[in-house]
Amino acid sequence: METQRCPLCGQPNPPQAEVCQYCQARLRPLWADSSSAPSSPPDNQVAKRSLPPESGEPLPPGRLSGMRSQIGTEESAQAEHPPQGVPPSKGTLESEDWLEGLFSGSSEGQAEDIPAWLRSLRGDSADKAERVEEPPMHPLFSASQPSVFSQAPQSKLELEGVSPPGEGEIGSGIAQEERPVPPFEGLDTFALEGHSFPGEDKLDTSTPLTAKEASPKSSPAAPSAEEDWMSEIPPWLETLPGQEWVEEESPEKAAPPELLHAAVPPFIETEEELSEVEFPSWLDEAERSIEPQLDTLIESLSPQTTEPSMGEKTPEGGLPQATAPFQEEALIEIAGPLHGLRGVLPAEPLVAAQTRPPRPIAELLVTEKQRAQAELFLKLIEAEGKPIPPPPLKRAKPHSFWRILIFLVLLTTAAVGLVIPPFAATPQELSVAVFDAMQAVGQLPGDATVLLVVDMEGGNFAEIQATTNALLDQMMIKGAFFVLVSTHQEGVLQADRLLREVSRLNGHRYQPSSGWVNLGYLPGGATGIQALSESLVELLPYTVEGKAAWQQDRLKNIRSISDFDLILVITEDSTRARQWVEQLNGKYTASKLLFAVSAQVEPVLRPYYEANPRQVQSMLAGIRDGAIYETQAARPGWATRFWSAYLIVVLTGIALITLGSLVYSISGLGLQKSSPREGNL
Amino acid sequence: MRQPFLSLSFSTLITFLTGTVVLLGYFTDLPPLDGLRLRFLQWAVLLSAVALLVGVLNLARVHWSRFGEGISKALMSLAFFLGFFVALLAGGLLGIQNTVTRALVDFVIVPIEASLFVVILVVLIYALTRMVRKQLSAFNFAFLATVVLALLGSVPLPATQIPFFQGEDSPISYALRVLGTAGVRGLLIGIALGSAVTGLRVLFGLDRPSGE
Amino acid sequence: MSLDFLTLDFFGSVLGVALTLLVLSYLIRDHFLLRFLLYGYVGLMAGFAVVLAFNILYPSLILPILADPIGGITQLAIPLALCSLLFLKAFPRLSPLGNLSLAFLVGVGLAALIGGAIQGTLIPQIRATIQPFDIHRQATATEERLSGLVQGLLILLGTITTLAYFHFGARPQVRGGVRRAEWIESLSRIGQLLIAIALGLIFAGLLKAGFVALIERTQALLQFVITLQRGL
Repeated sequence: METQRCPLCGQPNPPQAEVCQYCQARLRPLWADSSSAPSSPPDNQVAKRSLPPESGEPLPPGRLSGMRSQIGTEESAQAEHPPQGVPPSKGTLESEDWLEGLFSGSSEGQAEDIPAWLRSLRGDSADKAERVEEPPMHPLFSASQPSVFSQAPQSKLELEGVSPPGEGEIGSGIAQEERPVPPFEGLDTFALEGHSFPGEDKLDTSTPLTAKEASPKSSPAAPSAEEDWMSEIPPWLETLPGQEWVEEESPEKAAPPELLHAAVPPFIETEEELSEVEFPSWLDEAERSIEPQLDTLIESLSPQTTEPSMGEKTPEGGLPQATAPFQEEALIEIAGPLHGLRGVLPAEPLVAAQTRPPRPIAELLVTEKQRAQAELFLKLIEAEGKPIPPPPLKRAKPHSFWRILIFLVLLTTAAVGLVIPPFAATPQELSVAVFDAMQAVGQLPGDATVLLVVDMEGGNFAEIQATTNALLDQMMIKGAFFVLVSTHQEGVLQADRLLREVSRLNGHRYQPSSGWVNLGYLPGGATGIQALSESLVELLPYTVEGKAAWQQDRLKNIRSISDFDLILVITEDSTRARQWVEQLNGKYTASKLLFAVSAQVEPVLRPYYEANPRQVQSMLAGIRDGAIYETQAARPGWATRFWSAYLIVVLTGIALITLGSLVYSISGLGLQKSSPREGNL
Repeated sequence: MRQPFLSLSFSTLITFLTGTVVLLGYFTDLPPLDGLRLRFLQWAVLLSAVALLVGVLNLARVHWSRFGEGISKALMSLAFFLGFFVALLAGGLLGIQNTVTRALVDFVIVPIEASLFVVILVVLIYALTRMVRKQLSAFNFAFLATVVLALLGSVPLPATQIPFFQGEDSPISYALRVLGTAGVRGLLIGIALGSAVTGLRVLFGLDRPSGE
Repeated sequence: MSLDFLTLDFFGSVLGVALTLLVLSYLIRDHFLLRFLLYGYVGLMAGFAVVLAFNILYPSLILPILADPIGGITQLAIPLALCSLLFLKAFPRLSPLGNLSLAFLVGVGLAALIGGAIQGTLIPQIRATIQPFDIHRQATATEERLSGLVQGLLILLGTITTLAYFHFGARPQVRGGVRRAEWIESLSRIGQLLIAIALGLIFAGLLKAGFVALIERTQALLQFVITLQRGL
């Protein structure tokens, strides 16, 4: 957004503001009519100035455009390498036009209104003495003036066939008809060249190039003796706002006089061309006449003023402040509360005003790639705000058909295995685990007391019953008394059922109270087992029937778990099995600890069983060990009854798994071929 | 008003103190400490029973609130309360070893759970066959081969003998047993290490499993 | 109350078969009756849990107070307070008051777990792993010693590689990402295979248990059909 800075306080203000929002200073001149261009923001002006002139752009105002049109193709042909780094600034052009208007005005037959000082510009040599005392000239002139006395700019001045103000006047005094170029035109060119110094590419963006700023107030050049010829501004000129001069000039006025056009020398760009130039005689004479004055002037100037080196100029084109007091004498405030006053000190130090970055140049550095990236970034930001609809959930297809097929096959084979006579003998091989279990049971004394831990659910009841049938049968034969406890809620119910079923199937007459007591549920997991292992009687004093458990005759001698003749843990949960092993470790003799578990627990329990020393005396796992036990004990039971059916069902299961895996492997290979993905194999 | 910071600190302190007492009593033979540990263990068992009651109470409250959420949900919650009160009557009034309670176990609980296990069996077999469809990796192959070989080695084939397969001392059975024991032992040691480290972190307040 | 055993057994068999078929119908599709049945089953187990929990609490907390109110309360003040606070967890507004009891329960439970894990699994299993390499171990024969050594070596390597699989310490790579050290990665690959074998054995055991359950249910169905045939 464009803003305009207050000339008094330097604060930014909206472009339409009439007065400063901060100090209430007037921002626009009161007399500026609608036709006059308001003081546009300086940044904007700099941006316009920074743009190189193109064919489609409007021509620079004032005399420069006229000059360009007159030179025509010759100029364009010779200026193949124009000073692109420094295109003519608007402020410069405005300043030129302001002065050019004076000349153009004089060329239109207004000789009767022309004051004496102005006539001297036309070559009236009678006013030479007055010229020395002229006030400081226009800032652009003054800006270029020091370069006149420096090395390089002077040669350029000479190259272009123009003379410094003093020389111009001298030249004009020689012969008006022979004078090819108005002196200010030469100065104009010189001023432009002066801005093309290295380091001056960044134009003074801080200084608003309005009429006010184009005034000597902001001119950094030191006043010289040659500039004094403009010190006396006529009253009619003082009444004119400088900016309006520029804006109100007609295109016709901007064009230089016709008589000067023919004398415009061709552009000279090299020193070789320079050496070939033949200077007119009037120029030599003027040079000789002005040399003493120049010497005097140079001697009178301080080194700082006479040598306005490049380093003294700020990147924005600022000039040494030593010139400010001279120039401020000619200032006329055109805005703000001090409007109309002359010689007002600048409210804003030049140094502070010169620190603004050259924003327009940065804007021009945006490349196509950066622009594309910016557009992409904007698109990404826009896309982030838009809700992305989630991909439709891919619901798994029901696999009822295959599941039913598998179930029916297994059910059929199980029914066949149960219906047909046993076709397979139970395994006769005595495993080490079964042997150890049989040995442990065989070592039980008569009327032994066994702690029976039953941690299982109803789903595993059949397997557990097949596994433990022979084992419990052997204990019942020995007349063991069972104390039931469970860390699983349902285990309390299943424990009673298990003993009832084993008793019924094997012809025992085991009943609750007489054959076993159920202590019920032991909550707390590992905590409960540890508490049980160390304070059995205190922890579970009553049975599930509410009777005092340890008052029975068979349990009077039991005070801790070490008093039991055997502990048999029956479980289908590997975690519970591990907890019982861990918590009973060191609390109970491992040789009296037996496990009758589901087949799925066997791999977890085997490291304890195969440890040295053993943490578990024996381990019966699954229907196979139960069948072996029954065979070895010659007490056929559930395992023997189920064995044929189990065998055929297991083989059917193996066949289903193998066949299904093969089929799906083939189909999976097809899938992987169609959509390759990373795999381990 | 609840002050989370104080509550958190006090809870952590209680956890640390009780855990330290039980641990020290477990690994040392100091009589007073051992007695205190046993007392703490007994209280913890009672607290576990109360926790079970609290869980059931919460479940019942949730089902009670579902009565106003439509007929379908109300019917399901009705089934829950039906079973709940039947169990309370059978187990609480008649007793665990009563005939009705036994019949409830024999004819309701065991059939349901055994049938659910059969359903799980079918689903597991189907899932096992489909496992290789997704990705045939070395892990999958080893898993599948182990399952098949373990099943095959557990049953003697009638009227035939597959070399290296049958019998407890057959090479396949031996390899599976030894390798399985090695793997499970590694798992058990890892579980024990993890349990000990995690438990110590919680005891010292470095981890807060309750999320407070 | 006494029921005719045969009548109870018959109707019980009918109920059991009906429930079995109802549950097995899940293989076809889920349906309302099955959900109704399962909700009832959950309620049944919850009711039994209440009964079993009460069987623990009644003789330990309530009965002593009923027998000797002053002495019982004095003796059981702390557990009673702890249980009362924990019971407040059932009420959301008073739930924070139960944190004390929960902290106590967590502390004791973790200590029991740690002690059991160290003394019941960690030390014995590590000792069992290195035991075959004890040169002072008495063996009856060189062949048995050699066999034990080979087996011990296999188990040792398997245990180490399995533990290496659970080593998750990794370092950032130059090419990005993190990765374990190469030798640990190699060991973990072997350990992964051994874990697959171990899990395969457990899975096979689960299938075996399922096969027995299937046979038992099939027998129940057949028994019911035979009973019906005999009755008809």
